Amino acid sequence: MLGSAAMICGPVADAVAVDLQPEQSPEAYGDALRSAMGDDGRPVLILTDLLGGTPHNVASLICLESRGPALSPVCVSGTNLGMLLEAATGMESLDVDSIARLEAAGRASIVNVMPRLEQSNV
Amino acid sequence: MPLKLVRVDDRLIHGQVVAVWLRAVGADRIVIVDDKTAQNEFLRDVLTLAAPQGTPVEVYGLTDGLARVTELASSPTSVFLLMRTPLTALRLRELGVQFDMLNVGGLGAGPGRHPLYKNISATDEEMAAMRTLEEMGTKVELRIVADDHGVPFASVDKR
Repeated sequence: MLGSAAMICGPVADAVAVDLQPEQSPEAYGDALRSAMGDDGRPVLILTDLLGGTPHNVASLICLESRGPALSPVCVSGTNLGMLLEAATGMESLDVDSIARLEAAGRASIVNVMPRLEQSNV
Repeated sequence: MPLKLVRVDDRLIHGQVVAVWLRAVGADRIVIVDDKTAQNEFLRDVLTLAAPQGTPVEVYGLTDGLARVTELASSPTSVFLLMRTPLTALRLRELGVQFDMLNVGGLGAGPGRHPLYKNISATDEEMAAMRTLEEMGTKVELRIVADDHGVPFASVDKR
């Protein structure tokens, strides 16, 4: 998905894909994710595909555990390319409004095409 | 009623896999017995959100889990019992919980863990626990997803 995004908007800066290996335990995946997130205090956005999948569960747990006075990481599920492009090009910060726009971009890119086309041709 | 499915999976609830198993065995409630999960409020919340919508999730440590599972086994509720390791399954079995079959669906690799089948690995202690369960009359089957074929533990146990 990062490759597809790069074709559209150029390489996504500071983006890392952390994939779950079939034999990887949630703990090991959590370590990989934490190391990808870094600890330099910069805001982190975690995009997961499947709500309730192991990468998503581990990411949620890390977000909950790192909640505090400092900037907490944000985790959003249901990632599609539309969302990733919004994150790559339209986000300056992780405030509530930016996250809402990100969710909206994801939802807006889900369309049953034919009814939409027929509607616009009336 | 008797437990519908007794499963070991170190990822506990991961959406799709659990949804398919619930449908396949006809269970309507997930009970997790795991001390570590029971003590971690965050982890409990995450796993509850990960379950298919409308499926209640209960999380207990060993002692409370034993009581709850025993109670549910004599109620009309059909239960999917989930644990992180075969060690818990053995403890529950020794403490009197009845189940004829243990499904081992997820045990990740790592230091001190021997690969058994596909992505399933186990420590020496877990191997011993699965052997004891078999000696107690509980069949141990390695089966990751519901539409796989189950592989008997005994057939991959090269001691």
